[in-house]
Amino acid sequence: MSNLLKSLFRGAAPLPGETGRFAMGLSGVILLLAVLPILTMIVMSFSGASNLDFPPASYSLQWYQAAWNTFVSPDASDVLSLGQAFTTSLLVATLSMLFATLIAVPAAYALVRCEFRGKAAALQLMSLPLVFPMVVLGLALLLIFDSLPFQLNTSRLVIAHVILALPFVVRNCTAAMLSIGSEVEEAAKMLGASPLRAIVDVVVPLMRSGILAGMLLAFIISFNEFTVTYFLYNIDVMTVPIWMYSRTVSSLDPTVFSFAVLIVLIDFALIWALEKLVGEGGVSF
Amino acid sequence: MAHSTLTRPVGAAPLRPAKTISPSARAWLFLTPSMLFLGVLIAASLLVLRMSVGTKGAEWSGFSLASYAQLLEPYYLKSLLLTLRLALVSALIAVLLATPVGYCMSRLQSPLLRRVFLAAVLMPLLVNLLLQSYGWLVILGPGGMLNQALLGLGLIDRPVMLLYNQTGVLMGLVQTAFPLAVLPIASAMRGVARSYEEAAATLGASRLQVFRQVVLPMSLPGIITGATLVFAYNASSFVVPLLLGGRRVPMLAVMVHDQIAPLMNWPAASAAGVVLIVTTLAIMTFSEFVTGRRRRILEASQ
Amino acid sequence: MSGLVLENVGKHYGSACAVTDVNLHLPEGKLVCFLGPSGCGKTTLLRMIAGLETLSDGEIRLDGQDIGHTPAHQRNFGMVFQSLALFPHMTVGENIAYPLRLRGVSKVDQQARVTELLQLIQLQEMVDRPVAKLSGGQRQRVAIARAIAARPKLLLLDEPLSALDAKLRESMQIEIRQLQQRLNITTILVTHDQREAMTMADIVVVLGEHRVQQVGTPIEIYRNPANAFVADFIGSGNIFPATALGSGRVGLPGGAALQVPICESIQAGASIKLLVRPEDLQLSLPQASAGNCLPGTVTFVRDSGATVETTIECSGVSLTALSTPCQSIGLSIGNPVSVTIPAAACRVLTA
Repeated sequence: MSNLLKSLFRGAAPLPGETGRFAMGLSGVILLLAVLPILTMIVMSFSGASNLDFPPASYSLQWYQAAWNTFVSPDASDVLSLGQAFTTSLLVATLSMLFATLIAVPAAYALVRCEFRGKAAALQLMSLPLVFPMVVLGLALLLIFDSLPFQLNTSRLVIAHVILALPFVVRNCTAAMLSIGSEVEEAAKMLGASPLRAIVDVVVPLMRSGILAGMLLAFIISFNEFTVTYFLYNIDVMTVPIWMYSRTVSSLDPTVFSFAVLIVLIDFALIWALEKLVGEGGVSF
Repeated sequence: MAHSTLTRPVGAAPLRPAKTISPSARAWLFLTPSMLFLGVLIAASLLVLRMSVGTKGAEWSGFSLASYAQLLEPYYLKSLLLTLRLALVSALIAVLLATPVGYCMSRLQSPLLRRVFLAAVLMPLLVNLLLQSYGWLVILGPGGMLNQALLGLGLIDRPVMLLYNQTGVLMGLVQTAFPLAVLPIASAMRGVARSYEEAAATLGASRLQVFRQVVLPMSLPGIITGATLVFAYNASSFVVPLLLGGRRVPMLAVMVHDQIAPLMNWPAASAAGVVLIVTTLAIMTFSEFVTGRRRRILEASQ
Repeated sequence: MSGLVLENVGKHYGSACAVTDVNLHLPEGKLVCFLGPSGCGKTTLLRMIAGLETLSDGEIRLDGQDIGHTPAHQRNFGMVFQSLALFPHMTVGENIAYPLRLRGVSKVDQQARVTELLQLIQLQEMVDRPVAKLSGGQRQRVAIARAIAARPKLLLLDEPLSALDAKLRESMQIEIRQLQQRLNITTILVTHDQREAMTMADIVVVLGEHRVQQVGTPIEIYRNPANAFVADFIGSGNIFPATALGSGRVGLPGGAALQVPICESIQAGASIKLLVRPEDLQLSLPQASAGNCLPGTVTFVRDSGATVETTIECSGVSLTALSTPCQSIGLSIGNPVSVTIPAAACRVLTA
């Protein structure tokens, strides 16, 4: 009995290499702070008051009601309805995801399996969009697209989002490639498969979880992208983040919070699925 | 003999003749589609570089360094220094916060806790920055959460202004870039095998000593990478200063946009953009150099 | 010439040489074993035969046809890899049917062939299992079945048993050998385990220091090693320096002399090396030295139950003798002893 009490109060001292209680507690607090803005926003969306004081004086679903009304019967004053923005966002995110994956899979194969001249440079180039200033990317793409003799609408956003998502997709596919030994591919060749056939029959199916993780990540990135899109959008193509910004640029309207909660829920579901796919190793960045 | 047929030749297998293509050529063939997209990025940066030495009204034909000279004016210089300072301070704070989190993530046993931790790390990075800024507005506003808390604790007696100044921007910068510090640190610490910690413990090191003298030095490359990523990311941060700084915290990225949107001064925007690119690439190269050397030393001793 | 012929085959990576000057003829229907220490180039040689490495030099011919530059997937060789390389996303049946699918064999014929092979490896009921659910030995058999499914002209085995535990390995060695003989398929086995080579091979090719050291039957290799490298690598042996004294006698470093079957061409005064297998040494209680019987002192005894290994210091060399427990005369460290080295058991090696 006394042993039980002791272990309840003190617990067994953590072994070397285990996380101690202090470190766990500290990390928990830090992570809570990291997601605090998101949590706050979720709480605010249930506010019954009309100001931004926290905690709200009362709780209600009034902002969800208002958001629903905006969704079903857009104001005449809105240049673009949320529904259209939402459709554009989904379209752009889906296309970016597909293109980014289609180009990243062969690239990952080449980067892992082949030795060739310029490999180091290719690797560096692949992670360039990660560190490239997004504002400059937006500015530069705007310059390019505006100097083209024809007008691109949806595709200008897709091109930008593919560039932004590419490093993430390539890294996930590369990590998946690395876990596949070269022997299975050689085995397929020994059994009579041409090099390309061996990739399609054996390598790609084994890369599946890495590819899916890359796809999800690409979708999430495109769906949430703001900065570059902010430079490139126009009246015809507007994504949800831009639509929200245009609504709140003058004053913060709490209806936005209820839309935001919806988006956070979508993001969370995608991230949770992403982690399930990637499992033990953690997401590759 | 039931198996006498087993080694009979299968006959002419329908296999296509080999196309001979060198491995190097095949590799580049596979890389071509992604290189096309990255080529757009390269072309874009060159375009920005060209534009930055153009003149207003004759962006493509003119040549002048006026836009760069303009960046040396006190107003722009102050903006540059402000950007660098905020990026540096946010990188330091982010690494400080990320180190314990990264350590815990690298040592967590429970799969569920691991997923919860990872989700909490990824959310600030992946969720639309705009939405997170809304959250910050609620937290930092005059009647917001933080002021309420400080008033309640009696630390202040009237609400302090946190929004639309550097304090608020700094907090936003740290929070949104924090995952970029955690991920490389966690992966570096995962690379430090538990046996090192066990060895240090048997030699008489306390838990804190083990962490400070074994885990931390061995994961230094990850820590440096994390700090660099946060610095680079925040040096070109746009949404956070735009929304949390109002127009009162003119970081460089906001200036780039302002030069275009109201002013239509493309060369000036491009010159500021070039400064951003150079800053980012310089810090990345420096970090590569430092961590590369450090990693080689660590690898050589293992 | 029928069978597989390798002529001057070599592989270099830049200036580093993996294997060089290989000339071999592998007759049809035999099991040939490439035996050598790790890094001797045996796997590289196998991979060149498979078509997974390009040749730097030389030619490979199968039944008179040059195949040295045919891509791997057109050679129709079966191969079992060290990791087995079973496809984890396919079932047992799908793995075995894969080479047939590639050759456009009809579904019905695929099925029939898979059933036939599963019967052969006695895993009929496993056809729909994912390969991850199999035991080590079962995986082994599936890998072999997959490799022979398309009736390859040659079966290549790259250390296929190295992942198994000792007991299972021994029984798989016999199983593979029996299968090979029954199918009468030309097989090359790469291994660093000489017991495995002795158990399974018709012909052993000893590789070392990037070249072929000796080719012969297992017994030839053991009894008549061509040089010091083979003598040292195959079995445990006492190899010690000696000096030729002429008229069939050699002198040991400690001064004693032995009668050995030495080649006439070796002149008196030349330095040579002698090989004596431990099981050929006879130990007896101290007696007057005469002929090849020399006095010595016991320096170590290892009694492993089945055999007794006695180390003796004798005329400046350290010799190990192997005896069965009933032959053992109960020696312990420090005891004086007489060692008889039968002349017929001595092999003179040129260094």
